[in-house]
Amino acid sequence: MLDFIENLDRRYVFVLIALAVALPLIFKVTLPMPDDPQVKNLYDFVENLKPGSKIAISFDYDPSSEPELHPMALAIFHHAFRKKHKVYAMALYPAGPSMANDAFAQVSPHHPEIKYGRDYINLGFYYGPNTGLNQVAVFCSDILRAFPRDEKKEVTATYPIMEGFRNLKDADVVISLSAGDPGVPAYVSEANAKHGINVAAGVTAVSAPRFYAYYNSGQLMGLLGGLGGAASYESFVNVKGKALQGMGAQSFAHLVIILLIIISNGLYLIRKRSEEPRWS
Amino acid sequence: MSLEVFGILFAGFLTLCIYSFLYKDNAFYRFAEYLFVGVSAGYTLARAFNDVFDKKIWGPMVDPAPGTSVEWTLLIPIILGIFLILKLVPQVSWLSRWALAFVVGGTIGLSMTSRFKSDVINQIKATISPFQAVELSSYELYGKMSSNFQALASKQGGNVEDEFLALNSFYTSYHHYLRVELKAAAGLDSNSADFPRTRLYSAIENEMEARKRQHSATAKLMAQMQRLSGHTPVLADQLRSDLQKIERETAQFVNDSADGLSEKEIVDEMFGLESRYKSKLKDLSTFEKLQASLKDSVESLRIKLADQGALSPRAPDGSQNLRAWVESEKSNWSFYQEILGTLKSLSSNCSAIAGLFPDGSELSTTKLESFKAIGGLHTAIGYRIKTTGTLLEADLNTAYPLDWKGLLYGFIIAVMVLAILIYFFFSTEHTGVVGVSATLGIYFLMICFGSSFGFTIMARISLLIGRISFLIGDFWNTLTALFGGG
Repeated sequence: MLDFIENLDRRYVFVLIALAVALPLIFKVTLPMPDDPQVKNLYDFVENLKPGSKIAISFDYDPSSEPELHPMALAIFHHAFRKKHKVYAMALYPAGPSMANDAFAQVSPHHPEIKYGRDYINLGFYYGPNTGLNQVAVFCSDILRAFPRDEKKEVTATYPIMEGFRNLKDADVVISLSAGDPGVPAYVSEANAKHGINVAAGVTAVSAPRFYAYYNSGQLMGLLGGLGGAASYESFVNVKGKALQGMGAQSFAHLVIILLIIISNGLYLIRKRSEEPRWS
Repeated sequence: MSLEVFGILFAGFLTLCIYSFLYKDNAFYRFAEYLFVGVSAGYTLARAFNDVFDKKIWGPMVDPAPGTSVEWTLLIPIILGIFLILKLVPQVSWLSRWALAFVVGGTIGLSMTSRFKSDVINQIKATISPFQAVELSSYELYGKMSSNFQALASKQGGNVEDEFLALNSFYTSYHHYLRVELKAAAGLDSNSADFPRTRLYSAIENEMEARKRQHSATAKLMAQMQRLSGHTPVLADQLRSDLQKIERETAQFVNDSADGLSEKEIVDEMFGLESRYKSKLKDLSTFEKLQASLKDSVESLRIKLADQGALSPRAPDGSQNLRAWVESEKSNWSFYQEILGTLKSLSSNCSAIAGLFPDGSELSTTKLESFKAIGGLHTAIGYRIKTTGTLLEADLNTAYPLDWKGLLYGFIIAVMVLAILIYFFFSTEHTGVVGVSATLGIYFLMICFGSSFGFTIMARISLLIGRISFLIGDFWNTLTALFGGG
């Protein structure tokens, strides 16, 4: 038995994980979401803003991070439009504007009163060095200089939404949905540390541990980490999105991985006691 | 088959191609991999061309937006950009270093100031803050507050922005002091001998004085706004007269000047005139909207300021316990916050109106910065007061002379940071105390790596969830619809 498990083809593990993910999705297994304080901070802040407040969202990701970050964008859009806030989308990733367009296309049918150019604008992508600092520095000084024309190639200054929005300092909060660099570090360093602008972040789970340091030091006012963070925000906003649907699959997959770790370590210990270890 | 259906089917096929690698390396996987790399590179290049060359170079230099002129300053980045490409020409490849020097210099310059603050100073502050809260006694905080009060007094008569900045510092330190002092004194009768009567009363007197300064700074700000408001009829006349001028120019062009011009020249000229007209019309409409809300806001602020005169901070009397005193003071905080909110929106309106004045006039954009800065400052003060108000309310429910949880947390973090730093300090041999600390550092690092690994698993599973959701959702539905199954 020991030999059989030790020599098990790794592809069986892949099948097991695939089943652990697919079955809860097929049978729509959902689990209750506990409140995440880092997420609640951002939710409360957006909730308590006066209608007409300005929320800048930086789409710093591409389709490879879509499963984690797109549900955050959708939930934040729903929340902002429900509270009648103005939303400004921008991007430090080339594919960011397309992600913003897609998010807006998915959300706008639920909010027919929202009008492009009055309540929402997609400013586009701003090219620059990989640190993102130079780009964010320009956003903080003159947004029209960074985006003279929006994603539709119209003159940005002519849109009513741009009245009173000259740079990021005019925004009530800047939310960077970031898959890495450029993204959150640039907004924290340039917008928050230098200009005192409220910054929040939605990040992939891989990069989340790195950004907890910013949250704990008060430089991020909210942090959505991975699919869990997205599900938590969906739960606060009461939107049944893809993140909440995916959390059942996520939990089952984690359970399988934990069981596999326990089994393999247990086998290792048994082998070590009974005979010469196989892995030495 | 529509393009959308084809896109879904092709995306599903590519997903399966990529996952086929889990069985073993194969041609389908390689096809999908190379396609992904190629499409990513092509997309990035096309975006860079569209967003940089088209929008930032060609547009402003060759086809400027209506009402704007050619931006000749763009020649500098254009030349530097060409220098970068010259890297490919061996004879002049050295020129690319000049352009690189600009990029590297600019980035380092920005990093030096902002990254150092966010990644070093603020992180050190956060690491030691639990100790700081314990170490700083109410006496020390009282000293800090007093020095900020002196700084505030010295700003009297200066510019309004400096006065608001000084008020901000004072209020921050005042609330910090008050929070610590009240925590320590919670439960004490204000007549008892242990009650910190002298310090507390003196601090409240300082706040009364600060409130007067705030009144005078607000009055100065109001005077600036009223001055701006007084100029609005002139601005309205100016905008209307500009519109009439453009109408006359258009009529004159149609009647006289168009003769002898080519069709393209006529269209260009008419387009220019129309653009100018629309732009001025928009300015006028914006102005009219702002002017209406400006009057309302000024009136609302005037009433609030009159009410505020009756509200001044009041020291706790002998028969009143601290909690009741804080409760009664809370209405003062809320009212102050409300005023700040009105001031902020008023500042914002004034900024927008001032932006409509022609460049070079007395109230042109150069004077705007103070309005904008004060707007931001008010938000900061409002936010801090709100936070402190909540803290005061919560903290006074029970007296906690020491934040043991915070202290323990801070201690663990500090020990971890030191142990990991010692592990990476290779100038001393890792033996004895240094060796033990370094070993501890390795354990802490392993804990960090373990948690990062857990998050990485979560991220990869999330991607798998995304793909499987797509395969069993859109892809499967499209397949069954197309082939009539399901």
